[in-house]
Amino acid sequence: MIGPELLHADIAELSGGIRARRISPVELAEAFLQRIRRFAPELNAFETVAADEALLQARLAEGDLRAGHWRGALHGIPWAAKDLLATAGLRTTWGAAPLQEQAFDHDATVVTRLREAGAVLLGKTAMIELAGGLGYRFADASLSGPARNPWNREHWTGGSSSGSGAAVAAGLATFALGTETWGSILCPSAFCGITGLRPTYGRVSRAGAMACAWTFDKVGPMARSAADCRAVLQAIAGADPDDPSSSAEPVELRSRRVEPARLRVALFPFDAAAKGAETEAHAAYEAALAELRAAGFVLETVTLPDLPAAEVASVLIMIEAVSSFERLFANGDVRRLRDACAPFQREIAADVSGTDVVRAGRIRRRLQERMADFFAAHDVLVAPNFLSTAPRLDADLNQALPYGDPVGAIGNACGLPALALPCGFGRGHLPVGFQLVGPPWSEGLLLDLGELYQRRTRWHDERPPLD
Amino acid sequence: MRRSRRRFLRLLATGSAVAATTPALLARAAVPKRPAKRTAPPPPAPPGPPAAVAEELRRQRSALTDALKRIRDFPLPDGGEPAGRFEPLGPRRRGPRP
Repeated sequence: MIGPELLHADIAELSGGIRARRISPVELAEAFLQRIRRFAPELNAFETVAADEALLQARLAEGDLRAGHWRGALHGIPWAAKDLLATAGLRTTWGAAPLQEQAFDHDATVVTRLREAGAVLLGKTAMIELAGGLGYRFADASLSGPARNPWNREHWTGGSSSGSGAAVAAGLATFALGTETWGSILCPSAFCGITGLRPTYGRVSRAGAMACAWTFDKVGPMARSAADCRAVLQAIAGADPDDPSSSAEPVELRSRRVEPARLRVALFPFDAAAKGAETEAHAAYEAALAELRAAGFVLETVTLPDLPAAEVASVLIMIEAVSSFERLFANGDVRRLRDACAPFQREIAADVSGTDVVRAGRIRRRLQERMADFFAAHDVLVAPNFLSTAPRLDADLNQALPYGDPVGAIGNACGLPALALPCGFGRGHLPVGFQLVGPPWSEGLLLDLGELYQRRTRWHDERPPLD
Repeated sequence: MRRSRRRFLRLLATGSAVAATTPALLARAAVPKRPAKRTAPPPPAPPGPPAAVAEELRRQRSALTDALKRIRDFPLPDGGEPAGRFEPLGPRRRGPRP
C-alpha cells in the first residue's frame, strides 16, 4: 500500500524501497496515476496522462527487479516530461492549439535515457505554447489553460515549464523534465517551491526536443531536492550524436564535500527598489544568505559586467524563434495560438537586420569572455531567483513581473548552469527561491552547495495544502 | 555555340525591347487616365488588431527599438573574435530534431 507520504518522497527514499522490494514500481505508478486523476485537471498540470504506458513500464521495472536486474537510482521512479519532448506513441503538442494532434515516431534522447535508467513516464506536462518562443502576456497562453499553482490555485505556476512545476510541487510525479530558453526552469521552480537545475548549454541532449531558440535551449530536471536533480542529471547528461550541440565535456557529478571557507562566493544583492519587488521575498533571500554565512561561506557583494545582456538575449531569441516556427507563420496556424500578439512577431522581427544579429552575437561573445573572467575570480554566484511570488492567474505579466530576472539574461546568454532552490515563503504564503550560478560544467559544485543548503534547511520538504 | 549565340541575341533583343518601350511607358504614365469604368468596390481591408493588442504590439516594437539601439551603439572593434563557431558535422544516426 502506497501512502501519501511516498508521493512526496525523494528519489533516494523511493529508490531504496524499490531496490529492497519494499515498494512495488507498479503500485507506486498506480498511486501516482490516481493522484494525477484527482488533482491534475484542476491544476492544468498535464497535457497527456499516459496511464497504460506508465503501467507497462512499471511492470517491466518490476520484472527486472524480480530477475535481479536493478538499473540504478531511477529504477521504477515515476516522472513527467514537458510536452515538447518527443515521445513515440504519445502526442507532443508543444502546448500549442494548432499542434494538439502532433505525434512523433521516436523518443527524445532524454526520454530514451530515462527509460533505459528504469524511470516510469507518467505523462506529458502542460506548458506555455511553444515555450513562449513567440511571446506571451498571460498565463492562459497554453493549450490546456493557465497552470494553477498548487500553493494557491488562484495563482500561476510560472512558465514555460508550468505543468512540470505544478506536477512536482503537487506530488503528481517525483521529478519532471523542463526546458529553459530564458527562465523556463528557474521561474516555475521558484514559484512552485521546488528545486530546478538549468544545465550548462550542451550538457544535456536536445535531440527530439522542440527547438525554440537553438543557441539558448537547455533541458533540465525539476525535482524535490538538489540530490534528486543530481540523480536525474546523471542519467540524462552527456554527449549525443543526434545533437551536434551536445558537449563531449566529461560528466562529473559525484557528490563532493564542500569546504565553505575555500570557496569564493559572489553575492548579487536583492534589488528592493525594483518595481514589483516584494519585501517578503527580500526577507526570505536575506535569510538564505544568513544560512550560507552560518555554514561558513564568505559572501562578497559583486556587480556583473555591464553589457546589454538582456537586449542581446531578447533579440537573438526572437530571431531564432521566428525562424524555428516559420511553418506556423507560412500556413497561418500562428493565428490559432492563444497569445494574440504571436501572429505579429515575424513582422516585428523584420526590424532586426542581419548586421544586428551578427552584432548581437559578437556582444554575446564579449559577455561570455567577461563572465569567464568573473568566474576566474569566483567559484559561484548567489542571486535572487525572482523578486516576487507567483502572480495571480489573470495577471498581465508585463505588469505583474515588471523587473528583469536578476541574472537570467546573463546566465542564458552565456549558457551558464544555475540551480534554483526554495528558501521560504513570501506574500500569501507563496514560495520564494534563490539561485546559484556557476561557470560552464559546474553542475556538480552547484549541486554540492544545494545539498549542503538543503541539509541545513527544510524549505524543500514543504508541501502545498492540496489534500 | 550556335545556340548560345541565339540565346545571346534573344537576350539582347529583349533588353532592347525593354529599352525601347521604357520611354513610351513613362510617357503613357504621365498622361492622365480616363476615369475607370465602375467596378465592384475593393474588398474591405482586414480589420486591424483590437486596441489592446495594438497597444501591446506598440510596446513590443518600442522595446525592440530600444534593444536594437543598445546593440547598435555598443562599441565593437573591427574584426575581433568570431561571434559564433562553425564546425563540420559527421553523419547522423537519426533524423533531425522535430
